[in-house]
Amino acid sequence: MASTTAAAGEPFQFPEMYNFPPFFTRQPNESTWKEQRRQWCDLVLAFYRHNRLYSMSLAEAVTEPPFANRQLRRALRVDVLREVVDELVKQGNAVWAGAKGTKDICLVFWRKPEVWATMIHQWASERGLFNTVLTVFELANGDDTAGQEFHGLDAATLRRALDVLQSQGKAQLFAGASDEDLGVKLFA
Amino acid sequence: MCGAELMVTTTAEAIAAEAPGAETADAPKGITVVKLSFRAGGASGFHASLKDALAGQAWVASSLAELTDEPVASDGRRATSGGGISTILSTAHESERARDETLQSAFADLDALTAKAKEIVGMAEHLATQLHGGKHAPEHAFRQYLLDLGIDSPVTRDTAGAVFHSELARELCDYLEHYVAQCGGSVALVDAYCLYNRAREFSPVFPSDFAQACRKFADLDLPLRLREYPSGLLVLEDAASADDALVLARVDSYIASFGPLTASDLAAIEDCPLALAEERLWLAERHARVCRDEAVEGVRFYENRFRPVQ
Repeated sequence: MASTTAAAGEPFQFPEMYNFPPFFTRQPNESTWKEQRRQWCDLVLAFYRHNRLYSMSLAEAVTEPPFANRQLRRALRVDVLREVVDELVKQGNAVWAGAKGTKDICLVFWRKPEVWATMIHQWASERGLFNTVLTVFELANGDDTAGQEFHGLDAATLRRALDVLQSQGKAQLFAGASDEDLGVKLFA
Repeated sequence: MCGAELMVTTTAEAIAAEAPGAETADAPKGITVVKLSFRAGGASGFHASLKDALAGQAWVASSLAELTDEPVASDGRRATSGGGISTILSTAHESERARDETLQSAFADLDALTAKAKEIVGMAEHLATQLHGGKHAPEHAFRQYLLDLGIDSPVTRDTAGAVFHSELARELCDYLEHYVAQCGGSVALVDAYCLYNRAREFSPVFPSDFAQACRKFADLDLPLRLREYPSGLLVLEDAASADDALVLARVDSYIASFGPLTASDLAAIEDCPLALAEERLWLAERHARVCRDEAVEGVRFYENRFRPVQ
């Protein structure tokens, strides 16, 4: 993941739940499970936001924090994590990526694409860049965007944000020779 | 042998050789003497036969044969001489009589056993009532042992008829109430069944009848209750402590004071069967009072921290 870690150095503050062994067992009681799942969703988003992570491979994720706790020697099972991600998808905070119908990789939106879209539009408006063709690569990694929240955004998530803008009629995408060459023109 | 009149003539060979003195000395004393004359020969053959008979003591042998006559007949070895059907009949009769005797003696034993059992139960009850006044723990325990020994005149299908299950339910309550209370308010149905049937001695009840009677507790407003847990485990409970809230409160307090619990921890604390301890924890889990931690060492139950803080 080619992302800058904005809060590098500052370790992630795990919630108290992280040291509670039953947190890593899927609770059979439905109401308990709902609450447990909610707390997992919160933890995933907070952890991914803190470390500016965007995508998750479930099988790998369960071997390390926040899904595994080495002190307790507990780890969430993949099928339980899948249920958690399903919930995130339902809330619009994640989408399943990878081959259709499989649930092995997902994008985690700790900020929804709509929010990213608004930020990018705002930035273009401030810089007077409407009606100018920009490459998607420079949008994420260019010097112009340094210091912006969306600087360093991963390609898949950025693409979704631009899709949102296009559907709102505020952007037009130009396909290039490859994904890297994708161009975009923003409108007011 | 000769067919002709016997003339009193001494055969020189036979008599003279045997006892020449006897002829002269015995005759005057009136002892019967038989004189045989062989006019047409054959004397030597007769003499040989006589000698054989004397040597073999034929009279002793024949009387011995007569003595052993009866056993031989019952053996059936002489069936040919005794005659067909009557012998067969008598043989059959004989064996029937023997069988009757065996059966009679066997049943006499069983009756004696039953009579003794009743006596013992009576004795136990007598002692129990005598001890009734005493409030001391050992005496009380002893009294309970005696009561545990047996139930006099238990309810049976024959005596109770249509109301059999209701009557059985009442008797069960009388008998088991104390035991259930002793076991902390609930016992597995299987344990109760074994205990009760042991007390009934010679007229055990069927498991299905037992369970059916237990299901009537609530209708009859008796002090015990049958509870079926979702896993199928059947438990007899004290109506007073059958309330879920009490079980939940106990589990809560154990976790508060002992920390996270496994089913075997709870079984040890409450002194109850493991299956029952599991059911209690699952009950608490269904009520969202506890949550579980599944690890390689087993399942451990914690206080439920997932409950949303209102």
